[in-house]
Amino acid sequence: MQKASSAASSKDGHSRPQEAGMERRLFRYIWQHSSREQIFIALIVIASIPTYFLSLQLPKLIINGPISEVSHDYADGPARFLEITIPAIGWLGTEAVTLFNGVALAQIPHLVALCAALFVLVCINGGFKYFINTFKGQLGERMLRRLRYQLIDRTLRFPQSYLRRLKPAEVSTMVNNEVEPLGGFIGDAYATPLFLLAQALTALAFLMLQNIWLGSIALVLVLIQTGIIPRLRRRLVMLGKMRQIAARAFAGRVGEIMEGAREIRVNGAADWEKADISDRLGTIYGIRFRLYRAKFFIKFLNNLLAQVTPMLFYLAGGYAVIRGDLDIGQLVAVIAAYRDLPPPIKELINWDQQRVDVQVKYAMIVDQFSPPDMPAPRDVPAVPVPLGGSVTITNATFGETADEAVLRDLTLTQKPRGRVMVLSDNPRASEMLAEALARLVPPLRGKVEVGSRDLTVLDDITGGKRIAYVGPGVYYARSTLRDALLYGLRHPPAEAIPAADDDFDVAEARRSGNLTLSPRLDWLAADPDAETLDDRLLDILRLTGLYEDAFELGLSTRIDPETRPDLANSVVQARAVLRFWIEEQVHDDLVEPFDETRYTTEDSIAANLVFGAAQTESAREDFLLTLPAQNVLRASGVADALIDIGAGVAATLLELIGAAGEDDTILRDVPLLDLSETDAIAALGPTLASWRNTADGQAMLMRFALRYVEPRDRLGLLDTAMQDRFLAARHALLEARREEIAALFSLYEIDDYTPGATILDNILFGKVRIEAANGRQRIRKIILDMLDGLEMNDAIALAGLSTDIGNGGRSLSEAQRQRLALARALLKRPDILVLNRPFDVLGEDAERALLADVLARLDAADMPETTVVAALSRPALAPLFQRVVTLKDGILSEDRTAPSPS
Amino acid sequence: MSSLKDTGALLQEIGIFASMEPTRLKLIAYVASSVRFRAGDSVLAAGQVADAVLIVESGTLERHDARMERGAVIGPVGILSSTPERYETVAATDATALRIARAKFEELLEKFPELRAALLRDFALRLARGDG
Repeated sequence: MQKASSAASSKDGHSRPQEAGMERRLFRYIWQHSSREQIFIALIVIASIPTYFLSLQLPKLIINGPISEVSHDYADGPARFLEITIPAIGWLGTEAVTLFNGVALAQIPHLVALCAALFVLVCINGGFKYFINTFKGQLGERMLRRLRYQLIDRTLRFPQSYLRRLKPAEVSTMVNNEVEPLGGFIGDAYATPLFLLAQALTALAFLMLQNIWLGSIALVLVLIQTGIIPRLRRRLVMLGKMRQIAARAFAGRVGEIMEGAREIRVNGAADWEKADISDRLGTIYGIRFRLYRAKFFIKFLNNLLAQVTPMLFYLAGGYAVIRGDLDIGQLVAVIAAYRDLPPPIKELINWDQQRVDVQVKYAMIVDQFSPPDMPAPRDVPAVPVPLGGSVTITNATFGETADEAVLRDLTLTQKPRGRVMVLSDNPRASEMLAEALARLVPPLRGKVEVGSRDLTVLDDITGGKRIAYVGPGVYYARSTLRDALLYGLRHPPAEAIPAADDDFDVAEARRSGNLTLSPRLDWLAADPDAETLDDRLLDILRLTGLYEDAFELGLSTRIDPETRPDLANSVVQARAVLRFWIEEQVHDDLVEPFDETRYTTEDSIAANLVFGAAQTESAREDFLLTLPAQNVLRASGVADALIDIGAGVAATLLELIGAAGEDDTILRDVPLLDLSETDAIAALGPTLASWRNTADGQAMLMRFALRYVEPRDRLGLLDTAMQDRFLAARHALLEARREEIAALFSLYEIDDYTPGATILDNILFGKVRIEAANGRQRIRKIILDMLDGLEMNDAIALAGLSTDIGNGGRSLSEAQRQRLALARALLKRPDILVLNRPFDVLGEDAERALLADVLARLDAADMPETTVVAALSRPALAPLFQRVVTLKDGILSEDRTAPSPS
Repeated sequence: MSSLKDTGALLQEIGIFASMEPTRLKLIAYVASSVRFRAGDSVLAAGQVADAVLIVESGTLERHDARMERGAVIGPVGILSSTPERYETVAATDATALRIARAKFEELLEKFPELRAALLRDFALRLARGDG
């Protein structure tokens, strides 16, 4: 058997739990990780038995005592309450010893006292149950947390070859959903059977003590129940599965018949098909009939046992009472105790069934997460040690399997600072070489080393931080651009926080064998550039050609001028310069300025009515739909116009929604439509006439109208006469409610920064013409070129880094994603930079320019020791490298080193 | 400025869109945007992968020695193969065009099989005729 997980504490104090292999047997797994808790709960269960036993005993005392005066005749004097006596045990020869003489009580007080005692016992029993259930739940949750964590931990160590075969969605449902029932069961694994068994045995023991014969009857009936019923149930489950399979096959056949209806007719095969259907229906009927028989037989048996037992008790117990061997209180107590016996037994049977189910499921999950060549976890140093020395590949063979080696017996040595390009006739060969250097695949034979360190056994921290790899089609988790850039720099915070041990979260994480480091700590503290990170980011963005992209994103962000007064000032200064420049130099109508006396055609009707910027588009709509604002709009005579425009928009939108069909993702970028509103639109009904008559409908129509931007939406709903009317309404609104509007929105003032507007709108103090081809790119270029002196461009680019890159980085273009991967790799200042056809998506010229820039930078003081190994597709790029290795037919065919330039 | 209706009519004239239902054409017209070029503007630089499909609406664009007028479609080949443009496309006169961003175009292809089929037929025909 393998050793239980050892929480290897590294020097820096946080525990990094590791596990060699996973236990396949569920019960052993549970025991490994929760034996202490299981024993504790068992003790609690045992401690709960005496009170449970007493609560069975009391009714007997009540009936025999105060109620029927069988065991005590109050005429002779008061009864003794709470008398504790150890009875005489004949075969030991001891005599009865009274420990506590009790309290003397008359009949009624005695009844009350006994009932009060029963109440107390019921409470204590309930309390035990409450505690045990809570504890079990907690235990289950902890184990579930541990299990999920372990599964993810193992996934992160899977060999690449195994990862390729897995379906991400399947793994994710396994980790997320399929382990869920295990959690519920883990708490129950030991405690429940113990608890139920204790309960059943207590009840049984109580019965035995009252009367050995009645006890024996109960025992026999229980044995029948536990022996036969589970077996019958198993049959039920099997029949259920058969039914499911037969039903599925039947459904498939019906589908076939429907699809082949024409063929059946032209072949006159209806009778043949009917015969087949009849046969299948017969099979299903047979299974169902057997299912019913089994199901109701179990019911019958259960009912019989439940009802025959009291009958037997009346018979045997009554006989004993009549003969004087048993008193009436005992009989009542026996029947009460028997009533308590079946529930635990039934639950035990349920538990057993669940056990079989869960054990199989657990073993299946563990098998899925235990690939044959799973690497063992390795000790990690607190700080990655630079990988000095040459890259040495010795007699290495690469491939998926030994029979399909794509690269054989390769031997190569490269000193540090090398610039190696790898070309190959079979792209897979150079790809595998690159992947081996990035530690993604181990060689089938031979060695890949850096310095004297074998890469196949190198730890993840050193490997991940000192070697950088950029492959094709890099995937990004959803995050901000900045987080994506810093992904490779994050390093487990070194400072141990002893006080954190008291912290509830940390303590819980440790109990569940999870990593105790919080993602909220400063993971960048260890980076040598931590102080000047922004400068370094800007530098790398420029080097990898992403600066302009970041800048472009920055133009769309909103900043708070209170916290960034310097940037806001520069932006306001830029306005005048830019306007002058555009007027003088650009012979095109690129920008429409904000002007209180003119309608801004490039902006929405809402923005025109309010004439101020809002953090969200809907804020303006909400304000304009309030009653006071509506009154002004009505007085200005534009309310009906809004409804008319809204109706025009709605008619188009309804058409679009119809055309998009069920899957409406294509509509998510339709600016007029908020997808969350589709339900509300559906509720308003299909005819626009009905919308106009309801308050909700009118409000919806107005919303549509308020979002309308003529050059963008192109529905031809807004002519200049109408624009003038909206302009008049703007002035009326400002007149009537200026203070409110100024408080809610930021009014456009030529001398002030407008907080709600984007940086670009602020620089332009206007809107880019939507129809101007590449208008935005041209504006961006002008700002970058002309306004460099104002020192705001870097700040804007940095602001752009807070943009969300979308799921999988999909808000970025493929070329941007690949450049981003390179930027991320360079930020690490790696000892070895491995490229695996990362830039095929760029044009050849762009790739050449990018690589030339990067290689030149590596030669400079920044990262002098870095070795570059690049598997590339374009042979024309060879002159950029000192050494070119050519692979052909799976072996090294040429190894050429350029004469070093000097 | 052209309205959505004109755009729908334009799409109907074009081979790869002609077989689609009018409401779907309207949807395409809507997700597209309308752009204008001044004579001499660079429309698509050489060496760059097209980031959108352009459909000429009015005016003339020029690439290498080909002149493209109303109804000409630029970009699908470059987008689907991720190959950079060999020649620059410039506006020979003031021009307007319909622009469908790359991601949108890919989404449309995924959503409307008839568009996919029409595009495939168009590519195949051009291959058979021997023009790129």
